[in-house]
Amino acid sequence: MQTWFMTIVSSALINHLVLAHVVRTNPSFDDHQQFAIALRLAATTLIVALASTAANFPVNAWLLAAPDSAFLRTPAAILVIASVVTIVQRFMRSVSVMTNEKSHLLTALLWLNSTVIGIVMIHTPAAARWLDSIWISGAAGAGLGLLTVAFAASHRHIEHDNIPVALRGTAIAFITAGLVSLALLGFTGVVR
Amino acid sequence: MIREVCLALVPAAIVYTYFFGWGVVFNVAICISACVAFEALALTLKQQAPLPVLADYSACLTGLLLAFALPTYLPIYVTLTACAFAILVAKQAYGGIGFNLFNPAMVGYCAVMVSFPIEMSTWLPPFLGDIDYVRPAFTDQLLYVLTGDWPAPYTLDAVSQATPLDRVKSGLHASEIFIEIRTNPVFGDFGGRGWEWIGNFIALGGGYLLYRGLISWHIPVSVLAGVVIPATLHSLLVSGAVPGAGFHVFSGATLLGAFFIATDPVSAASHPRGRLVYGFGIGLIAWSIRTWGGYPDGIAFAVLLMNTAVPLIDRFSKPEGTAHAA
Repeated sequence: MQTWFMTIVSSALINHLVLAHVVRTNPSFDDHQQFAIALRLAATTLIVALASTAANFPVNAWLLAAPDSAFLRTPAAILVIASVVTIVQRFMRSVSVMTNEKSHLLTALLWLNSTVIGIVMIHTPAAARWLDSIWISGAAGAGLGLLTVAFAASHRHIEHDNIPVALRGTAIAFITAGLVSLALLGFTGVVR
Repeated sequence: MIREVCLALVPAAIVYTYFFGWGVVFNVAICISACVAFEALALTLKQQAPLPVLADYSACLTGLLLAFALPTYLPIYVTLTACAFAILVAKQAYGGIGFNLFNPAMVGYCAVMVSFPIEMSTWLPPFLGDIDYVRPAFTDQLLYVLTGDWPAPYTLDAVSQATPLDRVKSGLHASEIFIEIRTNPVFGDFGGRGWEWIGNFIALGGGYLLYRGLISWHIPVSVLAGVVIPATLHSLLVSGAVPGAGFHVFSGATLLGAFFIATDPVSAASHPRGRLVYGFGIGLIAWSIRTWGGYPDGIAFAVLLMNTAVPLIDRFSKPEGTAHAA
């Protein structure tokens, strides 16, 4: 579970960037809409994390059980995640959750891909049982979602004219993410 | 207003100096002058006149809070790093006073806490009279602060002592129970002897802030509740094997955090209901880090984590009708 925090900390670094990107592609979004996107993004993260870990664990444990097959883990994980993401995306479209923001959803899912790869790759070998792996990645997904939402809410605080010109935009987002990671370091040692 | 908050800390600073010696004076002097200097530097870089902004005393308060939070004897490069992080990164990068997302003093503290763990865990014990500690002379203390090395014949192990929080943490780790650990003469009525007196005077200063209406009661009460409630329940559950509410309140930075750090109006939640959530979160996280984490105290990390959550808390605690205003 130590990795649980590591996933959240490292993902904090990219959270806001992607969110800012999603929002900037359509400047007409107000705070409310942006927040709604963040909530959906958080929910999708959780779903994809759970589903892809559930699918990836059997692949790792049984299909890639041979001692020489470790090198196949990354490609196998990417394959599994890509399929899961496609299925989730189709499902979301079919229930028309994201009709207006298809393009943004795609961007977001691209981001999800990379993060979820992280979750799956870190947790699958660490967990001994299938249910454990799902529980751990579910927790990581939920934590990640919480940070996404927190970042969305803080966007107004880090996008204003008082920030020195050289630090506006991506730079201050990185500084914020770094400070959040610093705060999360307080949990060092909680899980031994 | 901020000047009054600084003044409310003066009695506690005097008691702190009485128990811990010159180190407190060094810390206060270095932190305040460094914070003011960094603020002036940042304002000059932004082509603003420094003097009108410095007159709001906010840099002084950040320096003073850092001086209280940092160990009493700390090499000057660590202190300066903390001040630089507090003023340049946490405050001025976000646009100066009124715009900082995080509490500047706590950003400075956490940054050096994770970067200089050995220096940050070097605490000299308080003067207690009946316990005989090795105490370096004034010039040797100053040399340590300026160079980072204890001059011969002093060594780090001979000079530094575990703080009450450290003692409890290592004792519990060695499977002792809290009631046993407490029999050590460094413990007083609730927390460590000496330490709890500083706590009393910080609470007195906090009471003054409440009386003058400079802070609202929501945050101090909820921070203390966030520490007291879980600590009491946990202590009752294991019949006194872990520290109870009294120890947690009078140890580490609990009182300083509740009255002076968490109440920073810029980085705290802005509505009464939100403030209760914000304060309780700080107390609860700090208690969790103390109980299960690797760091002896968790107030600073808890404040930063709840600062992250403030925009979210504000969003949900705004009075009806303004919830979606831009």
